[in-house]
Amino acid sequence: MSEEFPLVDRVLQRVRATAAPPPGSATRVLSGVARQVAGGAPVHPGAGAAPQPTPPPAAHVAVAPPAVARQSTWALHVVRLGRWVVFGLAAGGVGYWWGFQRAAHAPLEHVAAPVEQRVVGPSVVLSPAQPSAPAQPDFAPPSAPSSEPEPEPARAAPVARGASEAPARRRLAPRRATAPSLQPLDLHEALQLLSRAQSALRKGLPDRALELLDQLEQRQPGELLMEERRVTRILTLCELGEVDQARAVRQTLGPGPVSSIYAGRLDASCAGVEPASTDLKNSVPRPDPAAPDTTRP
Amino acid sequence: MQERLSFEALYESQFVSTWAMLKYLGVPPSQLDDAAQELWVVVHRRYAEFEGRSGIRTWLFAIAVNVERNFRRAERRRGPIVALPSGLRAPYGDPGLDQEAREAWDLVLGFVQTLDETRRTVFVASLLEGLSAAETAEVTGLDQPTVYNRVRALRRSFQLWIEQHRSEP
Repeated sequence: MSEEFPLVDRVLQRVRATAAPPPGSATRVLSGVARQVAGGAPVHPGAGAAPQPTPPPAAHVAVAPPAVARQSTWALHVVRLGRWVVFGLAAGGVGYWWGFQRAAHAPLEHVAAPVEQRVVGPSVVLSPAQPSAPAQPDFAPPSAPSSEPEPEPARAAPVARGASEAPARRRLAPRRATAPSLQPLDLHEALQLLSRAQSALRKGLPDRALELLDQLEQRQPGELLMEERRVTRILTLCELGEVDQARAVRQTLGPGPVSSIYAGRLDASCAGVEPASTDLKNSVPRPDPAAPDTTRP
Repeated sequence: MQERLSFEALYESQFVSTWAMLKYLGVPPSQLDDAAQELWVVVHRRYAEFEGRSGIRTWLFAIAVNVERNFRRAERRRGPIVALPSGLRAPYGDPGLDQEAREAWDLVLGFVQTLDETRRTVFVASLLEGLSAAETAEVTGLDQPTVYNRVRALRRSFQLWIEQHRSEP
């Protein structure tokens, strides 16, 4: 603070005291971030080039912005966000337990096609007025799920091409047999997992994508990123030739319009067009230009 | 070394701050949501690489500067902006603010628009965000004595600007 320029200080202080965002912006922006990260939309190329300076920061010489004026608005954001997250986790926990019980006791064939059951089963309508969600622990520390191994090229590569005709169910079964972690994913981890699934899908590894999506369903069965997850699953199932399953998942998105960033991709997918004939089900893998001969015997 | 926050905790604790950074830097109110989203997408992508060698606010501010720069470039690509007469110009600040706050925002953002990028960054970092001279130097690439000099000069210039532009005597 400078005594030389009291007018400057007064103006700056007034500005700092009134810099809070309007109500609802934190939630709006967060959901936009989730959509953008999950949808893989490009960000401005230079935006990430923030330097990470090497010397340690010195003590501040100026007064930090006053937080009091912001806190009341921000507290509302936090409460809303927290309520949303707690409820999502609570609903997710119930859904997870339900899904896990079914998976543990179901025959393999049944377990191999759990998509419709899971997405239409414990579906939850978010409502801020939902009473008394049971208390949940805070989010997991970020280090816990980062131990999630990256896709192994040596394992993933053999199923990359010609996989659309290969029996996905055969590969799904052992995955279900492994005990899932009980710790639910937080948003960051869920986004990372979803991004990896989308990346695998883009690389032509739909099996791997489905595996990652299943992991996501297991570890975060709530409503978190639900639209993005389902869209990715639909596209993945289409890649695998599981047209019926893809359409079933598409129906769980409801009759309303899907977010515009997905609408085009969904319309262009196998779940976006009406079947010309019912004979087509489950057997129409997309042609793979890179390996056209391997997809047909 | 401070404990590393989860992405959610970081978002909850810093969202308001990053919003203010973007606003101080002159991102138009209509684009603040988009800019904040852009910033947090970058944070999400880069947070794993953040090693805590600098303060988290310094790191976020550096991202905010880059995001604002990109928005400004995009604005320029869309075409030249024809300035409205000052009487017709909408206030920068929230219409819900009182008169004094709105005038303060008009003064600050009007002044910020007259500065080149480095001075704008120094002004916002040092005078509004309260970053130290060392942190401001990190973000701008200037050395610390230059930061001190710039801050002093900016204070003087802003004082003049206020005297010339405030509505009350």
